Amino acid sequence: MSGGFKSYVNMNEVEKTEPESQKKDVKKIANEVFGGPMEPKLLPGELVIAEGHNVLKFNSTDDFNHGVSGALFCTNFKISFVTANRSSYDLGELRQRNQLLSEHDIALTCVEAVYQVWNGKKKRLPPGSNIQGRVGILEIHCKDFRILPFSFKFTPKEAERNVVNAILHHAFPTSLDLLFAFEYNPGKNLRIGIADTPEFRAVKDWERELSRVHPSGWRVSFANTNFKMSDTLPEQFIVPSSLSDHDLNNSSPHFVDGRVPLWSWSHQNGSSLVRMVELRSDTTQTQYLESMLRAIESTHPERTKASIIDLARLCPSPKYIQVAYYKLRDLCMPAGAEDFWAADQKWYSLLDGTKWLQCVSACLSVSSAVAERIAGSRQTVVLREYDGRDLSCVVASVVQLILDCHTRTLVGFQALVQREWVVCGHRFTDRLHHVHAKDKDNEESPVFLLFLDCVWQLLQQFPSCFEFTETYLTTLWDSARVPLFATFLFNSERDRYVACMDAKRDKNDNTSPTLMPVWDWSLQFSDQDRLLFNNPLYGGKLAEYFPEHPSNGPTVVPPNPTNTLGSFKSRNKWKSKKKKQAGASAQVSFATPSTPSFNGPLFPINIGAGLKLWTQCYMRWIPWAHTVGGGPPSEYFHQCLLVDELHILNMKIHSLEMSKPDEHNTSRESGMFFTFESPRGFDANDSLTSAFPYSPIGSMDRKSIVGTPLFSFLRRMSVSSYNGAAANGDD
Amino acid sequence: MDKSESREPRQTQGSAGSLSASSDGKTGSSAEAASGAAATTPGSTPGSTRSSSGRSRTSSHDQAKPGSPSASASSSVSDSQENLQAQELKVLRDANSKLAQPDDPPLMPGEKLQAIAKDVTYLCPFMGPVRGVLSVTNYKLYFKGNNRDPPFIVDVPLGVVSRVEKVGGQSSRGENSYGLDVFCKDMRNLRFAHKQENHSRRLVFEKLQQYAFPVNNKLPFFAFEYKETFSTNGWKVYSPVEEFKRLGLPNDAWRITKVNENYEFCDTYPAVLSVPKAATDDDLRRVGVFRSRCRIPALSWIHPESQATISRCSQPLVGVGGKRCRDDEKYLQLIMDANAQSHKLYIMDARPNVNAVANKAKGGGYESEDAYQNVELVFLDIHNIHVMRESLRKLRDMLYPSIDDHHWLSNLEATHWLEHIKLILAGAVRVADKVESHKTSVVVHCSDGWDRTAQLTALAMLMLDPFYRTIRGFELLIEKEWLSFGHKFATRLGHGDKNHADADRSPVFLQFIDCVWQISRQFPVALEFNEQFLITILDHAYSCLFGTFLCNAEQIQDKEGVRQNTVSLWSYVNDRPDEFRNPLYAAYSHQHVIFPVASLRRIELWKAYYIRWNPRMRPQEPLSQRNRELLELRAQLQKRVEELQQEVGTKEKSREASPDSSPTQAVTVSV
Repeated sequence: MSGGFKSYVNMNEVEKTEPESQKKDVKKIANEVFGGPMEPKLLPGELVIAEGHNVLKFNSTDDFNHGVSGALFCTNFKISFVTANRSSYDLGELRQRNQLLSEHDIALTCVEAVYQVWNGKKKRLPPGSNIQGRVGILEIHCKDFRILPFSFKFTPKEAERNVVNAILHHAFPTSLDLLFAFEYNPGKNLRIGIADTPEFRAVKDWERELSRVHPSGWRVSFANTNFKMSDTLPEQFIVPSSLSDHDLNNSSPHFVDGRVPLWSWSHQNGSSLVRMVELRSDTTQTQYLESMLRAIESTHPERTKASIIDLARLCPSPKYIQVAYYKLRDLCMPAGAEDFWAADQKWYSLLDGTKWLQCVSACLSVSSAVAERIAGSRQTVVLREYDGRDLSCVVASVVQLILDCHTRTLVGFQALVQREWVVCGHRFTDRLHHVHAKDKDNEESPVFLLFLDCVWQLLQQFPSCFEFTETYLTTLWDSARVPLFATFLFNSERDRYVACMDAKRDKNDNTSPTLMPVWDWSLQFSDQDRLLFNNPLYGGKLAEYFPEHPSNGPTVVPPNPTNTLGSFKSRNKWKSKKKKQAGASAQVSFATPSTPSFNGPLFPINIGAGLKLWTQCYMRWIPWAHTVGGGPPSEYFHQCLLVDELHILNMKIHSLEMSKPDEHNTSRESGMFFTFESPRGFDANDSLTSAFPYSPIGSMDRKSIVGTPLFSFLRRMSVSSYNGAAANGDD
Repeated sequence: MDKSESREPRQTQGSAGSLSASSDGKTGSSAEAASGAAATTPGSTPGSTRSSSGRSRTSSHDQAKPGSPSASASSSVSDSQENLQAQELKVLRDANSKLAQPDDPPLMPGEKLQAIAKDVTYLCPFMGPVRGVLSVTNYKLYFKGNNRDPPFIVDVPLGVVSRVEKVGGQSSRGENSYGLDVFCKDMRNLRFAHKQENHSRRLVFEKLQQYAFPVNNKLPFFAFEYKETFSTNGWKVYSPVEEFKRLGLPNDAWRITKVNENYEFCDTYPAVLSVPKAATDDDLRRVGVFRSRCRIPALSWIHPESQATISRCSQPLVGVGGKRCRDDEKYLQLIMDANAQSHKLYIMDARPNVNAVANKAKGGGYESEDAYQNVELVFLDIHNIHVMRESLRKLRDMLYPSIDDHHWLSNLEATHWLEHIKLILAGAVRVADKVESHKTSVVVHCSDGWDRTAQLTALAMLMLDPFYRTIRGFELLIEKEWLSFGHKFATRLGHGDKNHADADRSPVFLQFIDCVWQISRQFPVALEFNEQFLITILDHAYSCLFGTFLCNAEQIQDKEGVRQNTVSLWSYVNDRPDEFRNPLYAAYSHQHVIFPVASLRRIELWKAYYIRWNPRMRPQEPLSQRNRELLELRAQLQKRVEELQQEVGTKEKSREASPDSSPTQAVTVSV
């Protein structure tokens, strides 16, 4: 097992460049004191803005008693803490390691708030402010619910001020072009390998989607080329064939943002899923809406009337989601052990009070009901939302996950996100709060996280129906806040285009910025770590091995009665405070046929009693919430080993059956993170925590935890980090 | 989901039911088949009810799957099971050709039909009214829906019934307003509507009263009538002497005493006890005077390395005057001295501090740290049986028949059920932590030392000793900490007694099993047994089919000849271990202590038990089933590899025999 510097050395993909701003004398001193270089690992185009030495980083778990000494840097990409201290991460092999951000790094866009802790009191430092005096202890609260406390007790005053002010300025950019994505300059070496995931910026992607789903009566429209029809629609999209581009152009001005109805998906029974916005409030021309609906209905083989689902009435609003998310965040970021245990008593009512799970429940219910109408009642469903850019994305995506097994593969899922979220104009800039403009309302609302939570609930209930794991979903959410990737940066395709053009104009050499999609996971994770995305139980994978086995999919029991149509009427609780649920579908319906395989429709239990909190994503950094040697990861571990063993056996059978061993079928790779023969094999299970592959504690001596309860293990841990700090000149 | 499902107003509380259906058989993986086939004793499944309906819209909704509660012990699932039932019915019919009708319940050896009523309507809260035939035997209540294929069945062992009430009278008007309400101890209630003109209600009611409450009717429990035979004898699972031997006892510091050989010293304690070697039997008698009901501190478990021990007892009889007992003080000192590693002893009093103080008024109390040197007394804040009973009642009201989903989490919290579970777990973690991490011996007691004490010692031992995490070990743990140390199963569960409001009833054992389930959730590969095992144990704790949980103490078990005249639950379980095995159990990886996190963030409601009668809450794709399938695939592939290797071996031999054969194997094969 290697020591703490592995992550820095391990940067194989990105070339290392020396920052010019690095001061020679500081380096010299650092070398003298710590016996090693103290510099952050920089990406091409990344610059150090400020740095402070002899900074102490605390474990958030031990009440600021002991820290690890190192240097804190603020660059134009991240806040980086570099320590000469061996981080004694003995089991680092077991952890997912980001190649762009190492253990103590935080991307600037991941910073939620910065606090000053002075005499036990916490004070929020306003973004963009300048501090003059001493800070003492700085607490950085991250959007992934981590809390990182630093002490500047031993740092020169000037350096302290520089670093803190740099963070306060650069973590809260006032415009999008200040993000690192526009500075990043990997040169020509960079190869982006995302061929698998279509971006839906080229007509071929749409055509391929049409030929995959095979809806009749739909075509690709180019009416929005150069965004001349709508600022928020993609340049190509799919519309009823009966509508000419002329019709679209005529109708467009009467719809909000000029967004004409968009096709999302079609069932093989001919029913489709369509996204539509409201008519503009200043228009009286309702005939345009009628003609659109008629055109949509004409695509249905039976010409049945489309049913319009009003999402504003049935789903929580983005504002409601924002409030729920803030409450959830407060609940999942306890200040310390005392705080944690104080909240434990009332945990369930506190969780209830966040209303987060109610939001998840509502989205799942609506999506299930829509899926039921499409698949069961053979009706085309039109989702209607004011500007069609928030809950439409959630519901359209979840409906497809329920009905279309392709979207449950890794590539299919990524294509879904790209199609229903990115190019359809979900306002990532606003909803993820990338930009902190003073004159603008805070429109932050993690609608995308709500969607990922819905997917996670489906994954919980149908563990063999998805090619990917919860770690993939958590990683995707984390990546939404790495400002290197353009996927989740913009409000629309047009914004992206304009930002590119502006950046190009500003640059002397007239080159476009390298805006990278998030889908090339090799930029962030090693081949090995990407195996954490593979779900060992995935039926599609097992079916490849054992096509004849009858049970290579779940015996999906048909839908929940709550998915019946009646549920719509009873669920307008998001509008009226008065709750009226008793009237929900009086007659139980068990209509949809069961499909005994992983590729059939999935109808989740979507009432509150059937949902769970996504512990991995929300509680991974809370040490007191985790079991050592247990949790879902220990199950995952054994499933990996089993599937790996199946793979080995299958290989044996192949080579025995063939006269010559077939080279293609005898790859040793089973795609599992844990394998039967690998060194991290059998003893690993004991040291996995339920937060795997994340470490709730950070650097510590993990050997000492085996077989001890977590609290005494934490006690011991703080002692060891104290020793570590002392050994490294904690003067 | 909610209220919509029950058409009747909630207040009626009457009807209820459980569904779990036999599937259409086709999807049955071999796991299912196994569980079905294992259920060769139809009806041996307390509380299992089967319903099924192939084509009907209700069908697959209620599929019974392994891992789903209905598969407990024996809901029939597969075709093979149907056949078995058919066969048994035939046998029955031959034996008693007068009675045998297609609607008759399948009977177990020793079971006799007592009443049968046709044209009865079962008011299922999930599927609506079902017409059919209701019958009562000396073991169970059995309802079979008319003309349904596969049949809709409700099957309730009478041991589960807590009360039966008549609803409506001769003058009652309206559909389904006249009949019987059957209230059960396993989180459900059933309502059957009779037709007045059929006069069928009286007999059913009488027979239910008679056989559900044998204690009030001077009848034997069905366990004494049950004549099934099994290949293993579960009564042999636990031998105190062998268990002590496994723990390395007797040793230098601990001896085994026969002071209670005839239960004359303490009638609620086991015959064989382990006590400090330095304490003579006379010492024990003197200590007994100072301990409630003579339940002196006795060893439950000893750490193999540190020799730190867990002992259990009842409260000291301190009383209002603060009485002291030198012998008791000396005895606890001996327990401390038996562990050379530590000069301290922890006394874990399971009760809240105020309760312990209140007990002084009744002559009880707790050890004062002034009187007992080097002793640290800790109160674990676990509430008494009445609080627990009330908490479960609230939980049940919230879950059955319909789930109150509005503010689900807050309502759940208001029942305090999970909070109680957390406190018990936290207490057990503290006991285990003292023993493991501090190498200090612990003495656990509450008031009498047979409720909360059993929960704490058994859970701590489960955390400390991997043996108790196996199927056999867990059986032994229950025999040892619960049965031999006198948890009053008969009283706490109210076996065969119609006094349903008895204040001595309490879900103490259910809480223990719930805690074990919580541990299994936190450590999914550390326990050899699965959820089904735990549900089966609970079901049969109520069913009175087996003798295991029938009595209040070992002494009574002995007196009644339970071991000689009834079957042990472990006979049934150990005959079909595969049904109860956790497919991912990894013995090698948990050879040491496991410490669950006693935080409500990690403690959840055991839906598969508490909400099992609601077909909508069943997991559609149970993880355990997936895991089991992986194991089956592995077995298949291993078999295939062996076959192929044999084939290759044969081929090579034949090739050696004919060296002139074609150069490629492919040709050889085609020849």
